[in-house]
Amino acid sequence: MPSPGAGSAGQVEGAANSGPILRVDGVTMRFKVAGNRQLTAVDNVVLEVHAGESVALVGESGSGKSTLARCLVSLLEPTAGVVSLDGRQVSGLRGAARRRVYQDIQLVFQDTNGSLNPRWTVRSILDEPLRAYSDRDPGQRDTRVRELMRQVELDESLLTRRPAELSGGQRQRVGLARALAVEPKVLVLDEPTASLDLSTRGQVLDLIGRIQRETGLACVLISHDLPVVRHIADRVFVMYLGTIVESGPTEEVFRRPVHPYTRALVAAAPVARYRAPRDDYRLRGEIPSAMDLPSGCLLAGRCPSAIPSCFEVRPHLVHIGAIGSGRMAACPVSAAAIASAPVPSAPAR
Amino acid sequence: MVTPQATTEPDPILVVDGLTGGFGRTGESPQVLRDVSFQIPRGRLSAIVGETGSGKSITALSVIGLAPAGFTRTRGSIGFEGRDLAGLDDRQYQAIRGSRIAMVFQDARASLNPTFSIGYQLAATIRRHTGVSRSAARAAAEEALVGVRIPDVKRRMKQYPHQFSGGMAQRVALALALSCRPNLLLLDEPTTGLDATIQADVMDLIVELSERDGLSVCLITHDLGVVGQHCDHVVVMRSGRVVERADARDLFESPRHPYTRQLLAASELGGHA
Ligand SMILES: Nc1ncnc2c1ncn2[C@@H]1O[C@H](COP(=O)(O)OP(=O)(O)OP(=O)(O)O)[C@@H](O)[C@H]1O
Ligand SMILES: Nc1ncnc2c1ncn2[C@@H]1O[C@H](COP(=O)(O)OP(=O)(O)O)[C@@H](O)[C@H]1O
Ligand code: SF4
Ligand SMILES: [Mg+2]
Ligand SMILES: [Mg+2]
Repeated sequence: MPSPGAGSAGQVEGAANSGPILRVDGVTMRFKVAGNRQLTAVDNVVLEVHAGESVALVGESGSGKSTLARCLVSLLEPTAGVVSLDGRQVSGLRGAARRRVYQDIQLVFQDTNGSLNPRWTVRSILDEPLRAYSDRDPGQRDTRVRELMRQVELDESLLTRRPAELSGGQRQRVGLARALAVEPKVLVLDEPTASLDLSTRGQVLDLIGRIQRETGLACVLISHDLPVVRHIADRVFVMYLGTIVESGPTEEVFRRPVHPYTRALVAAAPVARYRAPRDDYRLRGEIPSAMDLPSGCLLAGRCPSAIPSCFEVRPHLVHIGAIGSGRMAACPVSAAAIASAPVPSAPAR
Repeated sequence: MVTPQATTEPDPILVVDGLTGGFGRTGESPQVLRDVSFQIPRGRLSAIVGETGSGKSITALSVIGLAPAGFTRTRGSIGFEGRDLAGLDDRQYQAIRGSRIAMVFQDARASLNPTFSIGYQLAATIRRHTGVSRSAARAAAEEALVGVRIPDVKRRMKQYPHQFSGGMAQRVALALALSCRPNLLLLDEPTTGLDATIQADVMDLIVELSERDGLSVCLITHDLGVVGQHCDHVVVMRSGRVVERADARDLFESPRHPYTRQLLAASELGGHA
């Protein structure tokens, strides 16, 4: 198996000579819901992704990951904030300009069952984006379709099948091939392995890694499967109730989480070993509705480390320099604890 | 193929031996269980693991006499409390199901009736098994919900399944299964589809209840993290066969079957320490 996400190294290299391929600046998404009320699904998210880099978004169901993904690929127009691709603003584009941008960023959906047209054959599913977004003639399109099948390691004999006649892993690969058809620069993968069993999951992940190495594609991976995130992502963004609560190089964040939410996520996913030492750090209760957000820290009602002031002031995401570069977290309580007991940076690997 | 490791369990609560069967009139084509044999130790947590379609659910459903229509057992026995359950008819099974062996099904919400309140369903089940009065059953139902740590029980009793989150529905299903004090509890993927945070809570609860009641638990799961954390004995299935059965420590520290090694590798993906 290839080595896990390369920690801090990959990120810095990607950034060296060019700007970020994807920039998300203060993106907020609100939905109107019954009773003339509003629900904030994504709240002022800021992030950058560099060419060839993989970042992951993690967090419980309902934390806003899929909504953010839809904003990234312009399936939703954010209520506020700007998404830029390769320096060009995406939000608000129309017509040809929008189509050009759309080619550059592609989403692989959470549910391949619902996102592949059940009446179409695999061939039509892969041919459709080529017809819509390229000026290839039928012969060239056929060549490209076969190339895509090879790239996702599917046999050409499957080209005549319909989605229902494929296994979950095969369907997931078709979804991937369709997204790759228009040669995007950024791929957004929403829970690409959630419906797959263990052995298929490993294969799909290896495939994504290989394609990324071959094409220099940047990836935004959404998953609540922490081993998957560790395997793929250089950097991780932890999301809770629409906000980023922690970010940094994946290995460092998972080895030494700063934010209580991150710590609880890591503690909740036991590693596959016999009686591995475990952290009993648990959140109270379940994620609340995004409709009635408290005024203080969003986690305060569930957080084992909360102190009275947590219920009053909403913390901001700030740099936590004491434990290495590129680490950010939105918890003054944890930040203060680290500052008062500094640990030597760069733990040995 | 490596022969499944023989285990020396002195007093197992369940002994499945040579269970074989399939769909179709003769149960022979296609065969979904092939000579499935394993033992579940008493008073501890065991797990059945294996990939999608390997036959885990059908095995568990066979044990409680609820194999899907169309499934025919052609061979094998299911030893429980000195009896072979494989020969029982429906009425004989009724006496065992719920009160001796209980099961929580894959997708708990689907196994709750959407048209009745949670309190009504729990109380009705308790009455059916114990014959106590309506008010005693209600009190027992409340107690069962408190036991699985549902907050605000009085209000929750009046609510319907759709008003419960996945984690809550799972707790209710657990309360329902435990309400008649079974000796053996079968749990089919009790935490699949829940967030890891909620999975951890539900697993903690299962472990606590099994310790409190001296319950024997058999967990069907894809999550080898949970198995390593909590289980003592593991049965690995693939394509309708048991390919390995072992004490959990041995399974993790020296897996014998290549398929087990493959599963372990896939669970660790990044191979992190
Ligand atoms: N079209 C919509 N209208 C109203 N609310 C919405 C809409 N789409 C999403 N939401 C709400 O926004 C919040 C975030 O949803 P989203 O599906 O993005 O979360 P998620 O973290 O990706 O969850 P999951 O992992 O379960 O897919 C939720 O509270 C959800 O109910
Ligand atoms: N109602 C059914 N009719 C026909 N085949 C079935 C039915 N239910 C299950 N099977 C088959 O039996 C095998 C084992 O299924 P199951 O026990 O549900 O596996 P698991 O729980 O391990 O996913 C699979 O090949 C499945 O397709
Ligand atoms: S600010 Fe307070 S409530 Fe919020 S995560 Fe930190 S300790 Fe917990
Ligand atoms: Mg989602
Ligand atoms: Mg099953």
